[in-house]
Amino acid sequence: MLQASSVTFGYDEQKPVLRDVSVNVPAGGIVGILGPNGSGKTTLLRLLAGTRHPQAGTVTLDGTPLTALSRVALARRMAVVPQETQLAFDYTVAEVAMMGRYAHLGPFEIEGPSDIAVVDEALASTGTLPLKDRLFATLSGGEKQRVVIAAALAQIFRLKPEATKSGPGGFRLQPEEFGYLLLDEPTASLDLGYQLDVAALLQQLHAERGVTIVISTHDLTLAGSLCRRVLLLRDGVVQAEGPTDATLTPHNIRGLFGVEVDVIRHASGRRVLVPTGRSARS
Amino acid sequence: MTLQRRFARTILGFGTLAAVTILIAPAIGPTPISLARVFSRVIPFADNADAQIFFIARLPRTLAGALVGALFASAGVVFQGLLRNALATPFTLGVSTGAALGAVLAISFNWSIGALGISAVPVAAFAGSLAAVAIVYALAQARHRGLSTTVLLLAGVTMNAFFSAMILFVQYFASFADVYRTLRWLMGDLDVSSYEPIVAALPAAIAAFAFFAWLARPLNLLSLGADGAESRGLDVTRAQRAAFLSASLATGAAVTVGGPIGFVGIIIPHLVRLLVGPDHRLVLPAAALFGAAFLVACDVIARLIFAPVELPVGIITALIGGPFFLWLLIKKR
Repeated sequence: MLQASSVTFGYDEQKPVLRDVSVNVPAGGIVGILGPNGSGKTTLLRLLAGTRHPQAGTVTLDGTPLTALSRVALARRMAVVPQETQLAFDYTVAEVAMMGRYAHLGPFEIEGPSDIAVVDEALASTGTLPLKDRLFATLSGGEKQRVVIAAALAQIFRLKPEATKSGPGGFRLQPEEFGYLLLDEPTASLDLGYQLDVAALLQQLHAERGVTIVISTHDLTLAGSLCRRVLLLRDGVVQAEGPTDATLTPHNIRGLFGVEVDVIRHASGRRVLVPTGRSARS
Repeated sequence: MTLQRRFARTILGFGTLAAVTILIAPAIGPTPISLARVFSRVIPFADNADAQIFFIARLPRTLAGALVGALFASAGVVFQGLLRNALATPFTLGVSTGAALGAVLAISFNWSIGALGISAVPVAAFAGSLAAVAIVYALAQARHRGLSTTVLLLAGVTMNAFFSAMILFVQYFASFADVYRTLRWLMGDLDVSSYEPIVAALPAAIAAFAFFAWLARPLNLLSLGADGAESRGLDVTRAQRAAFLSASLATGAAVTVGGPIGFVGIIIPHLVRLLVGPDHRLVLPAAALFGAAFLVACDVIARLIFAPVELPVGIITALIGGPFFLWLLIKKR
């Protein structure tokens, strides 16, 4: 369980970006953080990832405050996927994915066959294994995002303790127990087709690998179809929090985005939110 | 191919290149010498002109070139990885000139450390490069997404102009002979003619290389940006500080021996990345070895081209590196 309790944070302490925000991410869950641009979604993810620490309140992983965990210990359980990744140099896809293994190796240790097996497995599970030797910079936006997700999986995957010789490389892999994947608007800069690709991939990783997912987005459709629970964030304050269907209501959406929506039950049985216009200003 | 094998091949390839260059260079020069006489045990050293040329004039110069080339090239790699920009080097950032100012101050005012009577030049050069690096660090902190090429180049130009002006200011008070000597050294000159400067720079150089070995993996992660590196388990602040400190050490040591020789830190890392890829565990050792070979070779050219006049090697590296740098700037997306 990843838990933020009444966290307050500002890059400038006088101007808090988040005020008294609480969120629970149960192991094995999919939680969406929804809100307009500038509402503090990215900052909340940073606090959950432990790359920033709150000025008030605590963030805990299974009851242990993140401040008490080493960076390496944290990185083995939790990986972050940013909106966009730009590399300073021309690394290959395999090299990018291998960067996920940093926390599993000693200061001068060189990756061994088991790490290579983990990386191959991670690339395979995001459908990017055929791109292994391509230069990352030459990929499309959707391919890049899948590779970055693969790197994140390589970070939270581990070898089964009894590593039996049954996998393709002689290793059996599973995600680190209750590995957490934190994604910051992973589809915001992608074309529609790639958006659907990434959403389907996340759905599959959750269902088949038991990866816990926290995703920030301003995409109502993505949040509605993917997440079990959502947290609505506006100006750094929680507007509502709860199960997706009960929380993504026309009333809450109006409060969040200032937009009117109709809720429609699609033929597939999915609940779809259709924006119909700007709300009358109060 | 596994990284172990790529590493072995890289070290072997570039190591051979460096070793061959360092072995051949002292045998070449305007005065022909016979290697048989150089290593002859029959002729006493005092009467053996060939051995004297080899061991006193040329070998220290070659070794100094190798050390300085290795330091500048690997410091270039570290600055580039740290600032996420392939145009960052000790020279373009103004760090070399900062080190030179420190060294010029120490030379002109004849500073020495305490009662030991040791020259303060290496320490002053290190302090100068550290001061310059502190300014770059402040800039990088203020723009945590990495320095844009524009900001980086402007900062470098400004710092070079500032430190150069300070050097001229110090020179204003120096004697004519001192000015001439300093000017030559500022052009980047390996005319050391003894082993003493090399030995003096060695502790800082060894410390810098030890840091660089540890930094290889962190530098790989830093190319993802600070947030990406941090979430993968790297202590970014510590890695950045280690990188800035060790690159300053390397630049200070190199400048103490050879003056602010330019462009080695950009030509070599770029060529090495084309040959071995961007992984810093390969790039760093390869750049150090290739940098050593490159500067020694440039110095051979500097000694021969207008023989018996010996040009400062900095002129040769600038002639090669200036156009190379412009080409990179044009090519950069």
